[in-house]
Amino acid sequence: MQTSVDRRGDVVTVHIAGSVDGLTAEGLQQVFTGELAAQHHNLVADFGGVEYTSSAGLRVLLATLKQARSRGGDLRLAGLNPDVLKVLELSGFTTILSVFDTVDGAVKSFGGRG
Amino acid sequence: MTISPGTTTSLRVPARVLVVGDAAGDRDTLCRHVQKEGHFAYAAGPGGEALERLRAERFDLVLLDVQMPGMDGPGFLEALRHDAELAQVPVIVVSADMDVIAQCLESGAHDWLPGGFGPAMLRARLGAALDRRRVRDARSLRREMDVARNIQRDFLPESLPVAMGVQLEAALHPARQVSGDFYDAFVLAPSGTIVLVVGDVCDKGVGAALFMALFRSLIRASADPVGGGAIQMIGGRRTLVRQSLEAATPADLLTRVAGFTNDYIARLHGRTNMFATVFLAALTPNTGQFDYVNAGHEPALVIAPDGAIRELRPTGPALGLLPDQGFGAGEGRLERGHCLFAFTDGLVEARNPAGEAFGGARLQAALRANDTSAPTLVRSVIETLHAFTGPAEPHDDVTLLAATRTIG
Repeated sequence: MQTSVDRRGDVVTVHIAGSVDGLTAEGLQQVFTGELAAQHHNLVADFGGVEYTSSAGLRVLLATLKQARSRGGDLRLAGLNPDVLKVLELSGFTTILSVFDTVDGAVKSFGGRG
Repeated sequence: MTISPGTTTSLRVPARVLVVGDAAGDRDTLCRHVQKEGHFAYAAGPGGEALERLRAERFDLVLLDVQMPGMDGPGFLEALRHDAELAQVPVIVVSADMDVIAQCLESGAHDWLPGGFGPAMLRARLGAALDRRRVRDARSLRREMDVARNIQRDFLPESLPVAMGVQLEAALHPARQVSGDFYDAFVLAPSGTIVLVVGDVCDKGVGAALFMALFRSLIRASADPVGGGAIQMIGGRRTLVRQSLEAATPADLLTRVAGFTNDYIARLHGRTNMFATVFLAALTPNTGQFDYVNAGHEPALVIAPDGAIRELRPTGPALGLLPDQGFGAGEGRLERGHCLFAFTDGLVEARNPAGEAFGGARLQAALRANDTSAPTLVRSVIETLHAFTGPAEPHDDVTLLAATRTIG
């Protein structure tokens, strides 16, 4: 798994590529924790390059979502491939977090401050 | 003392070595020798200073320099042995005096180096001591994990209930020594309703195993307060509570169990961000009628003898995500020969050596290949799975639970 980060206004997008599983989930958590520590609370996770996520990856999303919201921000998802979207739908994650087709849509959803 | 073959390989992993002595110059020289062998070396004065450092940080080895006459090697070693934690750290004594060395070995030192040792000798002694420690650590960890695995077995039913008209079978194959998967099956008195549970705690290993025990207990205690003993808490109102529970429909019971378990985990353990996907069903053996709650879990399947398959899809999110989630219930009926088959995603996500997933299509083919008796279905799915994955290490726990109606 690889990640890169870019920032538009007060929205930070974490682009993720590869598999998010038990081995790589901690690395992804560190990226999000770092952004939250830097007072970036409006987060977009770009899943465009993610072919698989295990429940360990979902746990990272849950932790980040709760932390971002407790600080007045949010975590929103974009670019999910059909298999990954299916995992999120089955487990009920799509009912607790917002999913967008594109990164652009997710960034703009934060109120056009991007 | 022989040089073990593992010595050179073990040196590839750098160790943290504390060099203890009362002459700063000698300590620094020893530190440099240790660093040249690829390890991290730290220096400390004798007595309290070294003991404090050892208590504060983790060291793999102590190199005790007793070359100076003022240094009380045996005294330091005695102090180490009286501390349960520190007694585990191997000590190599450095001295030119054979009497001092002998005293130190008697006081618990593991090995020794003569004054004026060369790099080959240092490498051999460090390597052997570190190897021994690693073997001991690994053994003790394995023992602990065996204990955990045995205790965890107690959180699965010892045997499946035997009920007229319904045949049950289950299998759980952990990917590691302990599992985040669980299943349960129990009969509610006096209605005879069979409650079936298959759950999968997020992630794997020890953390998931601890939460497996919690999820299973919350579900069992809230679904069966009479059998589970929770009703004793309410004291004198036992009869009334029993009546009110018996009046609840199975669907009500299951949605309450899901809501209670969800809120308990989300509120009391929210910081750990653990959750579980769980399939719950309440089956009435006489009629074959069943209700279910699917909390974010893989759809359970109802397989008819003619090969028709119905999916029981989620009726709510996984348990423990956020408090106050709504859970719906679904229902169905098992005719004679119909099987209710619940499983965890470790089954469909299992991969063969080429990296392909077992997948839903292969599962459905395996379920249609034989008759729908519960033992046959579980056995044939497991056999098909193992034939598919071959000798590959399982990457997730696999759990199956089958209930087939034999009358009606």
